[in-house]
Formats: sequence, structure tokens, C-alpha cells
Amino acid sequence: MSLETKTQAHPESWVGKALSRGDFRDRVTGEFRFASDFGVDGMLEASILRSPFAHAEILSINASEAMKLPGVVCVLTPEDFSGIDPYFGPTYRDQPILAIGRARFEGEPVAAVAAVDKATAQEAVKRIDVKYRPLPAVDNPLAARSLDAPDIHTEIRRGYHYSRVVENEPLPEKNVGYSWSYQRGDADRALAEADLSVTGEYVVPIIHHYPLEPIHVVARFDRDDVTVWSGTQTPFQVRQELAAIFGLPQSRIRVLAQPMGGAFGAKAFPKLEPLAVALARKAGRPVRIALSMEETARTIRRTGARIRIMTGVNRDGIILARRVELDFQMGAYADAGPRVAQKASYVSPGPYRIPNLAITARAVYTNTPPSGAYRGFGAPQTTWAYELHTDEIAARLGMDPLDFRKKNLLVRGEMYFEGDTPIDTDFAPVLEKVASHVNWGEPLGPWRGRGLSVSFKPSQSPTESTALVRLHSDGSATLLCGTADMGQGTTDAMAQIAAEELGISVKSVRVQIPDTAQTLFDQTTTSSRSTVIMGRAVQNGSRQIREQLLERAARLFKTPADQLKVKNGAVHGPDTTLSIPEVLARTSDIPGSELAAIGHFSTPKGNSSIGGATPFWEPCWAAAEVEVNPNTGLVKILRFWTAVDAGRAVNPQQVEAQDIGSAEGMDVAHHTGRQLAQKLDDGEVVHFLYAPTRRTRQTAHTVREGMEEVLRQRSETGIQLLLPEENWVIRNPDIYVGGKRVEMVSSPDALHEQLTGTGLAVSDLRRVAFFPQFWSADDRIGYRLSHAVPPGESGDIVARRFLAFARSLADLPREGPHRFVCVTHSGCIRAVLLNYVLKRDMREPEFCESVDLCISDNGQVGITYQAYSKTLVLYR
Amino acid sequence: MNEGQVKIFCRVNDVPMELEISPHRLLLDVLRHDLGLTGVKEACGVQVCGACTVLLDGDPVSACCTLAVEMKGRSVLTIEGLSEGEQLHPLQQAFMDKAALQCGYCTPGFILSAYALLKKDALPDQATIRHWFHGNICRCTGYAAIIDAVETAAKSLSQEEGGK
Repeated sequence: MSLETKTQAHPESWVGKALSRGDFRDRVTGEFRFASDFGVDGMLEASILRSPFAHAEILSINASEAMKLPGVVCVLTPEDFSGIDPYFGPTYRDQPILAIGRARFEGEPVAAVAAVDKATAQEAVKRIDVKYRPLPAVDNPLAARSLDAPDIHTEIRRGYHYSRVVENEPLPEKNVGYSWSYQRGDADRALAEADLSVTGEYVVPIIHHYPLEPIHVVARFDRDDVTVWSGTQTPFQVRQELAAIFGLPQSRIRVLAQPMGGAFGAKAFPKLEPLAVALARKAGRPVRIALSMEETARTIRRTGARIRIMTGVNRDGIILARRVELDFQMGAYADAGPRVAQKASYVSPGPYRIPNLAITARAVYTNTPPSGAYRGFGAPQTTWAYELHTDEIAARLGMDPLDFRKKNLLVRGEMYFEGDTPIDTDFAPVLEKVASHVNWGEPLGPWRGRGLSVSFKPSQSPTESTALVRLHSDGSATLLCGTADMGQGTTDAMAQIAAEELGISVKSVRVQIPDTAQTLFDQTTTSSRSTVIMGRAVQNGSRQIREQLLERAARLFKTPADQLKVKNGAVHGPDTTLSIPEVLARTSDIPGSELAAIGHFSTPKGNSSIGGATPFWEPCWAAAEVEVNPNTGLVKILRFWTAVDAGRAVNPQQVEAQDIGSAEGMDVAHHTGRQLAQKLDDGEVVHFLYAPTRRTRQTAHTVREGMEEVLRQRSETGIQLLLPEENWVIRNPDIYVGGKRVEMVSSPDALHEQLTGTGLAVSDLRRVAFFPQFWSADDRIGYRLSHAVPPGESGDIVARRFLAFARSLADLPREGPHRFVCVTHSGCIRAVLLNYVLKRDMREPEFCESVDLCISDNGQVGITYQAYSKTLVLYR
Repeated sequence: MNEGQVKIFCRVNDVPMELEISPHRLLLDVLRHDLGLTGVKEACGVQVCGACTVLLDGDPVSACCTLAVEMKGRSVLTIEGLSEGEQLHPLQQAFMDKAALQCGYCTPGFILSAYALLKKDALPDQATIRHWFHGNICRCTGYAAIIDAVETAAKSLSQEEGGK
């Protein structure tokens, strides 16, 4: 993998320099204060009771036992919402602070406790007695749109943030929160008349962003003054919504956006802030909500999508028409889902010239956690779909995929959609360049292939940023700007831009974190907008100050301002040079007096189909050469090139880091695979069992790759490694079978109906103890199980489940030797060893790579790890 | 001493300490909240991501899944104890020079993990460093720059040693 960065650094200039960031030092010494490091005196800790059901009516909440626990200050339930308007959301105000009467997803907050410490709050939550009546639940857009699906919402109010760009009536159809369509030409007729038409369907699941820092917020409520310290990307949106909820003027609500340990879209718009303020209001003391990672994953997800594309082309490979139909899985509350659906659908045809085009998109409510934006506002989901589709068309035409793309890619200056900004990049030339890095067009070795992709997305529009720039009497400067710090390095980029304009050192510029009581309005820190939009505001404010400074110097020097320059902390005239502090001191009667200016940048709402013309396009390209193992189908990436057109890189070092951060992969499980391969006997069938998360999937693949390496050397032919996807893929609480996620059902026959094509018989399913555990569970509802002790489990429970699962494999039907490779968290393996074998923790990173479990016919599990070995008789 | 608490002696960042703690408390909790060492980061909470890595007698452990009483009679090193005054440890300097971080939430764990590695293997090759880091996750930067930084620090440390 590599990357080229186009640098256009000016000599003696701060912008364009690959500078080491000013905040790096505090971040490598542990001194840097993240949102999760923040606290105030007298603060209480909170814990949240969450719905164990994907969809349920809440019949009653009894908190009297919880209140008896010493140290509990208050329990918040919906009864406390009198006098406030307890709903929030950037698109629709459809999400309650706590579920009111009905829980719409597993993990939705139902009640919350504030106590003197976290352990007390957690204990109190367990004592709250809630009676539920489970309701039918839907977990995917197609099910949610069926006629017999439950109505997840019946009434929806508009929100604030997206009200100018998401303009349709909420709930146009059953469970559809948003629909968007577009037509150009006559797509149906052109599709019918095309020489060739190709149809494809592509499905992308919901996933969590997993910023390493979970969500944290501290709130205090002093009479009518609210202060919130939150790791948020959108302090101004949080302020606006809190004001509406609590009926207070925005001036009484102060939101300080604390630096975040990553966000990726997961921390945009209100999340736990309304609950924290409501708790602080009832407790009469400051309250902190510090979510675990598991709770953070239940708070927000990336929007899932099912995308169907039909394309008509002529024999020469020119695209004549395209129809795109998209269903987005939005979750139980809209959050940014409709805007994600809109922006994703907008780019879903790809950066191609398409005369006849029809797009229909829906964002659908489901009984899953609310979903929002994640690194690209839906563009990754749609790019994956249309670029797969592009290759399918080229293959059907018998045409080179690069040639086919070149014929159809838009060129610089061409319009993508009417009313938007003309294309401002060179799609085809850069694609050719990345293609050349993987030797595109040259003969390929056996079982090798090459692939290309091109993607693009619009930024935010209409958009607005303001910044306050202050030049102090000693020539240093302070910027107050509302761009939140999530580790992306924007604060340094802002300092570079100001230093450039003010002619001072970047080291003498301080950038203040967002504080809605002091910083000026900024729309959001999202959609890759900050360096450009806030950067322009900072530039504008700094230029105003430079002009003021030069006017003063002009009077002093008796020289026209246009003959003066400010550079290296001084004003330079034709004959005279005077430091900035000298110029300021000699032109003011007040020692210490300083200059200040408000910088501003905005783009208007326009006629474009998504609200406004994008201020700039964000294009990117990728090319890869891969090798496929003919025996196993395993794909190995040999070369991978990416390119981005970042415009002028304010700090090339940071641009590179951002790009590589989104592409770096994995190389950790090879060794384990090699070890395993040494143990295989000729003729064995090896099955892979793993969780459906990408990380575990990749690990499973890599383990297998390591095994194959050894097996090739041994040149044995009898051993058969089955692809993880071909095999049984199992995880609690979801079940994956044959690579498909299956719905929870009540019988093996019903499960079998979902497994056509996998070769599994009903009798097979009956014999595997693992499955009946699920369909016989009393507390099963929807597709998830209710956990007795959410969300964490002790190492012992994990270890017992792990071993019980291992033992259940003894019942498998088999002919000849079989071996199962279970890929799981190292923590699980450690738990088994800690509890049953070694009686001591293995610790990281010297953690155990593999453990052999041998299941005897009587169900006993033998464990071998390095020199240790033990046979366990477990519960039946 | 309160009922149920145990008294332990240990060294934290080279400072001798006498602590009274409940035996069920986690090392992460005691280091962060009782001792104010917030450079120890909580992330996954299940010993997978390595953000909370600290060194116990020189060995890396996940503070989120280690009991605080395990400090008894032992020495704990957190990121706060790595630099000497204003003088950064070569690993810290290399992470800065190679831009091996963005948000930096994973950085203390990576640096302490690398510190333990370099004590065992002064000049590890790339494959060894990669293997060693499979207990640490970074979500922003990726791993290429981190491995580069560790190699750079290893070289500069072994030169220092050679010069002595």
C-alpha cells in the first residue's frame, strides 16, 4: 500500500508544511485530557437500565427497591418528564430521553440511576423492576415494510438540523421515515431499448463505528443554567436541542465539546446529553454518564443498505440508462439516517455520465439501534454496490473494466447533477495512474486478478462556519472556533492557516476548543467540511486582522498599506521593519490592547437535489492486485494503491495519516495458522467457526492462510480446508449459518427454511446442541436473546459457554476425521485457560494463540495448551 | 482499615505506595480514579483492544481485566512514568516524529507494549513487532507508522546503549 500526496507548499509558508502536530506531545505522555478524563467536583455517576427486548410495551417501572440502596441519589423514569419536551433528533424529534411507554430496540434506555459511585448506580439499576409486554419486532427494511409488520412510529415531528434539506413529509409509507427520488430522461424506455441490461443486488449490514473512546458526558443543572461537557462533534446542535427539550434560552445552555478519542460520526448530534441533563436536573448535582464500549455500540450504528442497480449499455460500452433502488436500515430512531440515505442515494449512480437515470430511496425504521453517518455519509455503502456492478457490466460486455470506466467517467467541469458544483477533479487520469501502479494491462500470473474502483462524495451544503480571531499585543494569536477535536488534527490545520495569514509562527497560535458560550456558531464537525469551511472562516478573520494591522503600520510608516508585508512576526516596508508588538504598541494609547475579527464562510441553499451545491467534491480511487488460491478460494492482496484528491493539503503528514488509517489491514494470525497446520492429519476436513464481525472474519481467513502455507510445503492432498463462508458461522446472540445471518425461530424446521442451498438437513440442526439452546430459550424475543446480566459477563461465564459450545460439537454428524477451528477473542481463550487449566492469566501480548479442545464421545472436553493438558467433565 | 479491604505495598511509576483497596476492584479503576493516572485508557473493557495496557513488573497487562490487588509487592509502570521530566522516552519521541498517532487514545497502550518488547528484544524485525502488537488496536492511523516508530526508537535506544 502506498499513497502519493500532492504538496503545493509555498516557500516560507505554514500551509502545506508536513508539521508535527502541536498536541502530539501531550498525547504521547498521557497528559492529554479526553472527554472521558473529565470530571467536576461533587459529581454523581450514572447507570442506565436498558430494554432487553427489541420491541416491547413498558407496563410499569418500580424503582422503590433501587431507591433504598445507600448512595442512590435518584432514579429517573419517564414520570420525571413533566414540564419538559423529552424528544430529540437532528432530522426528526422522534427519540425520547428514556423509552416512553414503548421500547423500540434492544438496549434502549428505560430508566437511569444517579448515585455516589458507579458500582452503586449499577447495583441500583438491577433493582429496578420493569414489567414488559413483548411486541413483534422487525430487524431489516424489507420486513419492516411488509403489511403485517408492527408500526414502529405513528407520529413524527420534524427536528432542526436537517429541516432545510430533508423536506418531505415524515412517514410517507409504513415504517418509511424518508423517501427520496430523482429522474432524468426516461430510464425505463432506455433500459428496454439498450443492447445489454445488467441487474445486481448488493447488501451492506449495520455496523458500529468503534471509536476507541466510548461516549462520555458530564452535565450540571444550576437553577436555569445548564453546563454540558461532552465528547461531541456537534456542540451547537446539542445546545439547540437541549434548549428545546428543557424550554430554556440557548444563552442558558453551555456546551463544551471535549476532545474525543475518535468519533467517525458516532458522536454527532445529541446522544446521551439530554439524559445527563435530565438526571442532573432531578439529582440537583452534576452527573457523569460514562458508557462502556458495549453501550456505545447500542447507541449508534452505521446505516445498513440493500441496493439494487439496473443498467442499460450499448455495444460500445456507453451507459445509456440506470435505475437504482435503495432501502436503508435506519434503526428505531431517525438520527441522521434520512440525510445519510439522501446523500448516499445521490451518489449511488457513481461518477459516471448517465443520460437516463431514475433513483428511488427509502430510509426504513427497524427495531435496531439508531443509525447515522460513518466515514462518508453512506458513500462507502453505495460505492461498494456500484463498483461491483460496474465490473459486472464490463465482464458481460467482454470489455476491460478500466476502458469501460474511462468511456463513462465524468470529466473535470462536467455536471454530475443539475444545480450542483461542476466536477473539480480528474477521475479517469487518476484512475489510469493508480491502475498503472498495479501493472494494469500486463499479463497476469495464474490465479491472479486486478481490480479498480473510483468513488466520490459531496460535502455539506448549505453550510456555515464562523471564527473569532484575536491578535494579542505580543504578536501571538488565539482562535475561537467551533471545530471539535476528535484526533483528526484540525486544530493544527487552523493554527497553520491563521499563522500563514497573520505572518506569525504556528507555535504562537492557540486554538480554543468549542464552547457554545464563547465560540461562534459552527454548523458541525462532520462530512469532511472543517478544514475547508472553518478553514475559510479562520482565513477570512485572519485577513481582516492583517488588513487592520497593515493600515496601522501604513500610518506609522507613512507608506501605502499595499507596499507593506507581514511576515515572520514583523511588518516589512520598503525601508523599515517593525515587529508586530511594536506596531500595535505605537498605534494604540492602551498598553495590551489587541485586534479581533470575526471570520465567516458559508454556502447558500441552492437548487441541487440535496439542498445545496457541494463546496467541493471528495474523490478517491483504489487499485489492487490479488491472488486467489484455486483450492480454497482464499484471496490474498498483493498490491493495494489508493489516491485522494485532497485539494491543497494544509498538513500533508495528516492527510497521509487519515488516508492510510482507512486502509491498513491485518497480518496477525498467520503464525497461529502455521502452528495449527503442523497438527493436521492427512484426510482431515477442517471447518472454521467464527463471529460475523469483519475483524474475526479476517482473522479466520488469515489463520487459514497460515495453515495453507505449511500444507503447500508438505504437499499433502488429502487435507481439505473449508472456506469460512462455506461453513457454519456461529455467534451469540446472532446465528450465522452458511455465511447468512438467520432470524431467530422456534423450531429446527423453521430454521431450516432459511438455509436453502447450504446442504444442511433438519436432522443436522437437531443434532447440534448449540442451536436448540436458542430456539428453546424462554426469554427469546425478536432476534436477540435477553441477557440476564447485560452487558458484561464474567470470564467464568464466557469460559463455560465456550466449553459448552465445544462440547456440543461432539454431536456433529461426521464421516472421517474433522477438525474445527474456532476463531474467537483472545480474551475468551484466556478465560478458559485462567478458569480451567493454568489457573493464572496469560496476559497480553504473550497471549495464547491456540488451544486444542478434544471432545470425547461421552462429552468430556480435553484441553491441551502448550505443555498443559487437562480433561474436564462439564455440566450437561 | 475498612472491612473487606486489603492493604498492599507496591511501586507505581517508581514511587513506593501503600494502598488499601477492595479486592474486587480493577487495576484500571484504581490507577485512573484513586491515583489519577488518566493516561491509562478504558476502551473495550474486555481485554481485546490494549488501550489500557500497563506494565506489571515489566510485563504488559490489560488493566481493564486485571485486579488491582495483583499490584501487591510488584512494580507498575504507566505512560506517566515513562518520560524523565521534560525528556521524552525515545519511543514517545519516535511516535511524534513518525506521526504514529491521530487521536492518541490507543497511544499509551502501544508505547508501553513496545517498551516491554524492546526490553526483551532490543532490535526486533517488522514481523516481530507486528506479532507483538496483536493485543493493541488503533482505529485512526493504522499500523504502518506505529511499526516504523518502534523500529526507529529501537535503533536510537541501541545506539544510546552502544555509546555508554
